[in-house]
Amino acid sequence: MASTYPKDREMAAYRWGFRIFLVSQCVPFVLIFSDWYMFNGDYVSPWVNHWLGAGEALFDIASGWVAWRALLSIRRGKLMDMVQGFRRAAVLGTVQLILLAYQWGTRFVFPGTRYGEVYYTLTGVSGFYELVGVFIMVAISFRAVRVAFTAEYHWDADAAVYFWIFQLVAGLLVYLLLYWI
Amino acid sequence: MRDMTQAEPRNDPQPKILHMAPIWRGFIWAAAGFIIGDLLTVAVDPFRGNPLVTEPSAVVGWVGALVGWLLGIGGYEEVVLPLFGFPSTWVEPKNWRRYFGLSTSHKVIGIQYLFSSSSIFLVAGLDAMAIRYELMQPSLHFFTYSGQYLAAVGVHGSLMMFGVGTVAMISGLGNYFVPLMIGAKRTVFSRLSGLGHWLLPFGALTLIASPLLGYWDTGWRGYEPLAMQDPGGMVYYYLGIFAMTLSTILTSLNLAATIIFYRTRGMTWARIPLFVWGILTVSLLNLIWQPEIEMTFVMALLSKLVPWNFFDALGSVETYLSMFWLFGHPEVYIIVLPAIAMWNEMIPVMAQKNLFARDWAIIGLIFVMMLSGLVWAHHMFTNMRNSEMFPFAFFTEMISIPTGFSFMAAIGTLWKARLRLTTPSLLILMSLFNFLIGGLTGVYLADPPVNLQVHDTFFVIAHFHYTIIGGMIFTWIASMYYWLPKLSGRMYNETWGMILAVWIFIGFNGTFSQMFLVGLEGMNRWVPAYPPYLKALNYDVSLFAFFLGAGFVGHAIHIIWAWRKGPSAPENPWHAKTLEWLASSPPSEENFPGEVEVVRGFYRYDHDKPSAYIVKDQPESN
Repeated sequence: MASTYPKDREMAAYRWGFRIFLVSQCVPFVLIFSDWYMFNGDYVSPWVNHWLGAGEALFDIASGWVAWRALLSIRRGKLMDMVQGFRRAAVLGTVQLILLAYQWGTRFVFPGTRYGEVYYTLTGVSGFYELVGVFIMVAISFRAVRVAFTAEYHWDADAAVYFWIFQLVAGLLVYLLLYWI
Repeated sequence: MRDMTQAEPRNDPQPKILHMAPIWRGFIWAAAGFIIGDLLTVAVDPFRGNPLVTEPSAVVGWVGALVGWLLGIGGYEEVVLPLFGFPSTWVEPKNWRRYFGLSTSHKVIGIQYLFSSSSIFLVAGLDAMAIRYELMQPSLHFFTYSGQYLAAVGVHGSLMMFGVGTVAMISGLGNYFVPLMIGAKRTVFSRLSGLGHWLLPFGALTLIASPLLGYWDTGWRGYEPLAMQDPGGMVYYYLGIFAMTLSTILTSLNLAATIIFYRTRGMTWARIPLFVWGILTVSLLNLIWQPEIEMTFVMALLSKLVPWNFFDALGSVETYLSMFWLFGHPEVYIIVLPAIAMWNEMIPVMAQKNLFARDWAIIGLIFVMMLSGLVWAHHMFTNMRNSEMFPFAFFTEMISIPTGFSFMAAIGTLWKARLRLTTPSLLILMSLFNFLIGGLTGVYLADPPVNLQVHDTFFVIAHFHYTIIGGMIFTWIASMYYWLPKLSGRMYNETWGMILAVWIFIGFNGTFSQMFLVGLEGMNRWVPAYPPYLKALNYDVSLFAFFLGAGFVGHAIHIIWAWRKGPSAPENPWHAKTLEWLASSPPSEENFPGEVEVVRGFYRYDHDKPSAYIVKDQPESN
């Protein structure tokens, strides 16, 4: 049945579909960012832990960089480099989530304040996307080995990295809004 | 039930042996998921009163149930295993059982959506009957508490909007017919789409069960700060709608990608059928606005659970109203655009006359889509300054212009036409009439002085029922009759079809035209008791409403009868030129016996030349 559509057309459809899905997933972030300004203006709580926040952002950037390098590897046909890269990116993402969980646990930011409400909502939502991203990175790293991705066929890896970069950008914007702007 | 697995395996030499129907397995796994999620949450957060079910544990349990349900109906074999690189062991049965589990066939998914949506329509309709029965008397006589009445109104509205309005024509008819109409053999994200359907019954059941956690009284809009003070049923309102809107997002993603990339050879943008244009425009609207309402509901849910003060007096109540209606008004265009497109799909066929001003009909759809995001605040005039009302009143009145393009195309096509008066064409004419009344009263309501007077009265209810029920539901039924020969290979009974069409037309107009009057007389929304002087009109409205409800059931029985036992239909009974009529009735697994090549547009009846050919044994086309 699939032979009806040439492979490149099918790939173009997957790519467009996934990108438009990510565009539609920007809408929730736009919504909370605008609410953030409406509720909170440019106030930053003096109680936020800047070191932990910066640490999270760094881990996020590092994992995005590792994931991107992994994608470049499979484009050159190096399957095991890609698999290891994806798993490392997932580990770095998990470390970031652990830092976030620690921040939540310590309640440096009081949940009952206006800043606190938006802080926990924004970090919760971006953390959820990151959790989904970690799951996808791990799953695709297993899939890559079993179905043997090649330099020509690795759409799933592309999609996983698209999603990972999406959550990275969203996470960094959240960091900027919560800690600086 | 070992014969669930008689079909040949797709990509695994040893297909999965399922010992029970996927739907039952889904229920069991969902129950397990709920229990696990619920108990874990209660263990972590035991300080909420009830020892077993609290608001947070009901939410986490619900998420567990959703995961269990999706895995149980086939997601584990068809989605999770391939995600980790294992071959799928899912086998779709070849018989009727395929409708009760995950399917990747767009036609099966379409029928699943039609069935689910019709069932939701029935439940929401029974709910409406209960509401109307209550309103036959000025004081409470059917419901015991006003909360019960308001929960019934909320469940009715939510089910109709998210389970019928945005589903029946888009996910139901759209999934079935869009690939056929563009000459495709499958959809782009068929597995995702198959999984997406099962979110719909899950979400609807959540909403239907929501009053069990307490009568919520906000209506389908979940207004704050009322929602924060409401009992736990409110939580399942958010979650039920979350599942249903997610289902719509997946459908829209799949259909939009399919329309853009899987059109057959010769199906240029200039030749795309009107209904397909309608689905493409609403898919884009869905992809923008459904995630918006989902995030709004996440924030509202957190406000309730934690609790936070986003939308109460410490936050901004009006922000919730804006966030809701930012989605809420495009929602009504999401509902009605496929119907408007369908008018101009059917009228040229039934008149066998060229479609008048086809380009303008499409431009109208696109401009309605674009303007629909600029009108939301007309729902909030009572909370605004005069200066703020003006732009919204302006855009609301402006949106009637592109809507009018579709009317113009329909009326231009009907002009001096020899229309065949069949059940579908009669229902379309009725839909045009109803929508005209709904549209004109909409322009009237857009004027702030009128709006402020009739706000929150039954006048508004009558207006939007004229657009949604009179516009979309009538067109949905017309489309079911129009495509019944294609769906089933069988024909309905024209006499019964006509009688039932007239029946619902009388029932509908009797109900809702009088609702305008009772609204102008001062009948308020959201109250089960009212001043006795309104009784006579309300009594009348209810009688017509029961008549209307019986008419809808009559149509359902007639369509089901025709589907199973009706006389055989000819291959192309309406002499239509769109591609779905090139397929057999019902269409085969591959839709067409070869590759389809479109050579000219579909809406010209001044010649007898075919619009497309089937090229057999053609290798890959591009």
